[in-house]
Amino acid sequence: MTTATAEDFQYLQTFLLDRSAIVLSEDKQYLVETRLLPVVQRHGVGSITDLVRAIRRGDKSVETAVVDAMTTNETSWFRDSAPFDALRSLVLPELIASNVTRRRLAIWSAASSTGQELYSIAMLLDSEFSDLASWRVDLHGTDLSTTVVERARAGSFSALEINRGLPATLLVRYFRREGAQFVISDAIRSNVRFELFNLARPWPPMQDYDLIFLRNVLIYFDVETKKRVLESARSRLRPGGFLLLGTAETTRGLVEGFRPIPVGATTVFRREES
Amino acid sequence: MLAMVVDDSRAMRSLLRQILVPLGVEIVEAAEGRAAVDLVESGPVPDLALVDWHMPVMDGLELVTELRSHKEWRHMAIMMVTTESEHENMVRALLAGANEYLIKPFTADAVVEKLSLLGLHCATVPAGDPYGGGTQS
Amino acid sequence: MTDLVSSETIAEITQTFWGAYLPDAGDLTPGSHLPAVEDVRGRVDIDGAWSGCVEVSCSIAVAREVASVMFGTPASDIAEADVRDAVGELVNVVGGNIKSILPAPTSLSVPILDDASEWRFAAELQSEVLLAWADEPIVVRVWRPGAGR
Repeated sequence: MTTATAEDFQYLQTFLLDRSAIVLSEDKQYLVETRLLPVVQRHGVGSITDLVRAIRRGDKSVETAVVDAMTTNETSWFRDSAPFDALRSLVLPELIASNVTRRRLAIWSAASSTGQELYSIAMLLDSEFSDLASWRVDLHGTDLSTTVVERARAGSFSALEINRGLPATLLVRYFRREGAQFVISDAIRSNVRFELFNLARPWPPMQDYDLIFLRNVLIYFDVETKKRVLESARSRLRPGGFLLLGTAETTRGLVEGFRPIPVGATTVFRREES
Repeated sequence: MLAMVVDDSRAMRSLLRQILVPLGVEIVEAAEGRAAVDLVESGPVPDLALVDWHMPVMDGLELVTELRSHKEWRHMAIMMVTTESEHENMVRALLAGANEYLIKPFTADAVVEKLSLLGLHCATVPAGDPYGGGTQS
Repeated sequence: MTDLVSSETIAEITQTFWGAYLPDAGDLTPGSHLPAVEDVRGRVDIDGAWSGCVEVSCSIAVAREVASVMFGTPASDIAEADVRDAVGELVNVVGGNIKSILPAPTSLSVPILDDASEWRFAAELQSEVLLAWADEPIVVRVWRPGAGR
């Protein structure tokens, strides 16, 4: 009754591709059910078929709820750890050296979800790169989903979320309890900014960045969109700036102008001087 | 890798066993702090101790303090696994010598990630993205 | 009390136990429509800056399901002692998380799996949250010492 029919699945595949360039392969039926059953419950309808009907009718709140549910990822702090080790050992020292007169850095978490990635970067900078305290450092996070952007701005996390990969020393240093939630310190929160942004749509004019995190989001896109997104990211990076992708993701075969640099268990991509 | 699970709840010890054994971790158990000290004294020193806070006889904080007073056991990682999340108490545990802190309730993924933070690696596949791991599309 | 820990927070905490340990079992829903079936009951005592206790009770079906997951044994094969132990951990998690929100400092007792009821006569009910899992009742109550104490 609550399971998705083949027609529902096909409809959702098309809808999600159009709406947010998400590719739902055939074997992902189970994911549709897992992610959308709570939406079925919350909207008081009987089945996923009802959700599809509502989308067909143009019900915007159901549309948003479905997109949100299908794009929400469970995220950890310092996810995969190797990219953050790369930040410590190579990326930040290089960027600091090449910007030593300018004293500015702009960092963009381009699929920031509920904020763990950008807040992890912020905590890393604050705790291990205290010299940057006197620099102007822009920390920007963007995501497609209104729900997660609002949650990221709130900086409030459940115990289940706080358990995920956050070193205990950072937990006690940067978080306080508020009711059942853990809230990140005002000092950190006031230094980051979260906005809505759809990577799959044409990008508006924006500032250049020294470091872009584009992790675990390209896999949602078809090849043409991947190429477009990577090309746009390259053009928004200052020469010598760095692009960080997810584990096993690469620019190779998709876009020119990046030099892959292996660092520990990961690879970072440095924008070549054009 | 040898881990010692210290918790007065058999259900919790069993749950941690279910998470850790498939990762290739060997488990020894104690129901409270005094028994845990006896275990470490009498057998091989575990690589990791997972320690509940609220236990009879000797509680988790007392256990951490006791374990850290033995110089020869300093290489043993200690992780609190507890509901206790008052800021001051978490700080006390870390100051007493706990290396990590896991708040109950927790998921299996969280345990694996904490092991990684502790530099303890075990036989596991890294948690992949649900949309299918990034090699290609 | 409700300004100290709201019913929503209590429900959220209880749901977190399910979300973490029983992720495939389905979420908790409001349970006020269910008859009060309290086959298994346990409590933890809290003492210090705030004094009282947190009690969790549920039907045997819920208790068996929780025990089944935590012990990795089919619900039909679970020994009674294991069921009580698992409910003890449920009480510990719910009570312990509530304790962390209450005024500090406080101490938390080990779970007391309840057979006797007399203590309730001397206690004042502060909060009662009625939840359901698969249409089986779960009740969380917060008690304080009664006015006469």
